[in-house]
Amino acid sequence: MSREIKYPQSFKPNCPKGGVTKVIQRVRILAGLLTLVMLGSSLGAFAAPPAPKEIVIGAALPLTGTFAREGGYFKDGYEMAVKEVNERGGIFVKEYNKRIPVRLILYDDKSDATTSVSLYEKLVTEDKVHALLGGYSTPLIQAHTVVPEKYKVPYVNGGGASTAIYARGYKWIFGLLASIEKLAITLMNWIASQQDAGKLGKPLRIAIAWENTSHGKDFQKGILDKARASPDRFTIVFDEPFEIGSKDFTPLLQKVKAANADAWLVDARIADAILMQRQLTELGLYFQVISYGPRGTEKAIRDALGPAADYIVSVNWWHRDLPYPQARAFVRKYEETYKKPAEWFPALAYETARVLFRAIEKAGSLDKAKIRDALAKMDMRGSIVVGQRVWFGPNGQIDNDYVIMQNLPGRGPVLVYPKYVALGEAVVPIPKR
Amino acid sequence: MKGTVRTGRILLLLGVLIFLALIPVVGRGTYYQHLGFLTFLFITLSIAWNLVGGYAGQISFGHVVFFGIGAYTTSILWLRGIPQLLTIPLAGVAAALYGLLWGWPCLRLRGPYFSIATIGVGEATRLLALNLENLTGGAGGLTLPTPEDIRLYLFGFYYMGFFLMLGSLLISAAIRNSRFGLGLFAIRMDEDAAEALGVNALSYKILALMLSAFLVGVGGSLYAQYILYIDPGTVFGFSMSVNMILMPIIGGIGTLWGPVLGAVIFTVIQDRIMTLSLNLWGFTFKLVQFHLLVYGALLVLIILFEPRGLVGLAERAYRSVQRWRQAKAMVPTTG
Repeated sequence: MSREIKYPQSFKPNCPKGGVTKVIQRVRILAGLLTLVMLGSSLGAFAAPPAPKEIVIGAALPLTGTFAREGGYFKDGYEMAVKEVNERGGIFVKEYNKRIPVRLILYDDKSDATTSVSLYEKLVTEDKVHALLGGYSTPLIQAHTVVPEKYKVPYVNGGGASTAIYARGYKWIFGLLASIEKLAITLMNWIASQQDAGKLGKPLRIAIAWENTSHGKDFQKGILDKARASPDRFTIVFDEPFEIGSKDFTPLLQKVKAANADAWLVDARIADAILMQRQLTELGLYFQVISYGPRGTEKAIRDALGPAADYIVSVNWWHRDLPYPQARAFVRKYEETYKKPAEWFPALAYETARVLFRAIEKAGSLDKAKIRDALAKMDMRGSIVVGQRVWFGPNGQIDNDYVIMQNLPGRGPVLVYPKYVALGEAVVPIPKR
Repeated sequence: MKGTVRTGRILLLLGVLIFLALIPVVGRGTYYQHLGFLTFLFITLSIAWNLVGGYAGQISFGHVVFFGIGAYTTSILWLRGIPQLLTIPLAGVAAALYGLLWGWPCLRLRGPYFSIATIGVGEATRLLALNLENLTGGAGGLTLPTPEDIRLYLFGFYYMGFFLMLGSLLISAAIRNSRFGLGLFAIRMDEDAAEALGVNALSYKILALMLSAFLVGVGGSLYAQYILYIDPGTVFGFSMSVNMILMPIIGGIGTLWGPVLGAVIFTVIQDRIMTLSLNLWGFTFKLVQFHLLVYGALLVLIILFEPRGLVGLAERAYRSVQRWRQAKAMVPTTG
């Protein structure tokens, strides 16, 4: 039995047959749609949480202690990159559809490995950083990289080149310095090119010395591998390690003198390179080629040694005369800001920070795993590094070219190799004084 | 009255221990957990050094070798498949045996001669570790495997550090009140007189060194497993030996609580000051090395005025308050 509802007359004409039920249905549909829209918009609000006020990036650098000089350069580079990105309003993060400024937290690890580890722990657990920038020097980086790996925080460094850092199967560690082994191989390739040009004899009697660290061992391996592969070109007549920060290299140099070598190839830090070259000059030792690996052409060394630094060859990750507009712009800006010559330390630090910023932008998110993936897939063009391109191998380390420079009297360090960036001819063999 | 003070002290100690035990439960994975572990570790090292340097009066500048031996023993064994937990006592035993090896000849030396010999032992061991590349990884060091659940792993290590510290404190207290401890004190005061009274000085000193080495070795083992990377420069570094001496001297050399107090001040103050900067009249002062100034000033003041360190200072202050109270109580009331 159905019940008919009586409606006022005025209502009836507008209603079709069975109209009331339909009206109710339409109201229900409308209400449902409205609810859906409201739910959707509220869900949308949940899906896009408010953007954080800042992106927190942390690093611990050796600002005092053994590596204070290099750490200071890295600080300059990081701060310059952060200032630059913040002047543009920060990093654009797609997830929030806005630019978010960067806050850099920098600590001093006093050139001490345990302190460095503690500070990276602090950055991750107390300061809650979104990502990390690296420190400086292989032993410190090797120690503290355990922290970002265990907490799964993306980490990029421009101060550790030793293969040992990248040979541990870590997934969250990336580095902008090509391996030291490659540095040594580049040096040997350059020497071979000088032999081919008739400037150096064959086989060349080579003496090598290396700091007793994994950095030094990589250098030794590169030289020895190359010498073994080309016995007609190279003969190793001396091969010894030395301790970092030694106070006297005379006993070592006396042995080198007895070895009667043509070339003196060393892997050393700035302070050791200065002392070694000074004592070598005082002892009157002569070599056709002298190289201190990645050191030897820095202003600190040239200032300390004066003419004794002439003709030293260094193999490096970067040089201020690289013919790229972006590198020139960096040099101009850095030297104007800090009133210091732009050397590889601040350049690589600056680029390291820029690579991390680019990865955050590419990730479009502050999610650590997404930033890590963006770093793994990174292919940044227009970079200031040699070759103008930043990418990382499966181990997290870049594999770009090195440049070779030589201190020439009255000209300072001049790029001499490879040909596509060379600005002068190397003076080989070194003229006898 | 004495009973009330004693109960109060026990309650205070229990309160502190419960508070420390709860830190990782409340703030799991926080920096305080990390800082807590390091503090427990340094307290252990400080107590261990005090057994030889404080109780027996043999100032060792080479204690870091035990730390390094412990760290390397654990790392080498772990990487060769020995269960991680089993490597901890083995690390202590290896360090103790190493203590016997060089303690036997070196502890025949007295005063500064012994101290100089320990510096030599420390440096020689570091160079040995640097050059035994096949075993120690040389300058490149050894990297240990990262556990699956790192937070749980570190949570566990907080308690290992906590119990190691407690164990060290109990051993130190037991020695203090034992015949062995009295023998060590006698050696510190006058070795010849102690021998004349029947104390076998060399055996006592070697035993103290081995015990101390065991604790430091276990500390080194925990450090390696916690940091997951070691190299000779860090675990055989001379600065670690200096720290081990500095902590008990600041706190109170030869006392029970002095090394604990010294280590807490050393670790916590350093940590809190290190990341601070001070803004004064528009100049920013980074306080990163400020703790060294604090330690330096403390060291000078302690050596000049209170050789028993901060514990001695606290005891002196306590006695002064007691005397003042007694004097106040004895003054007859007038009117």
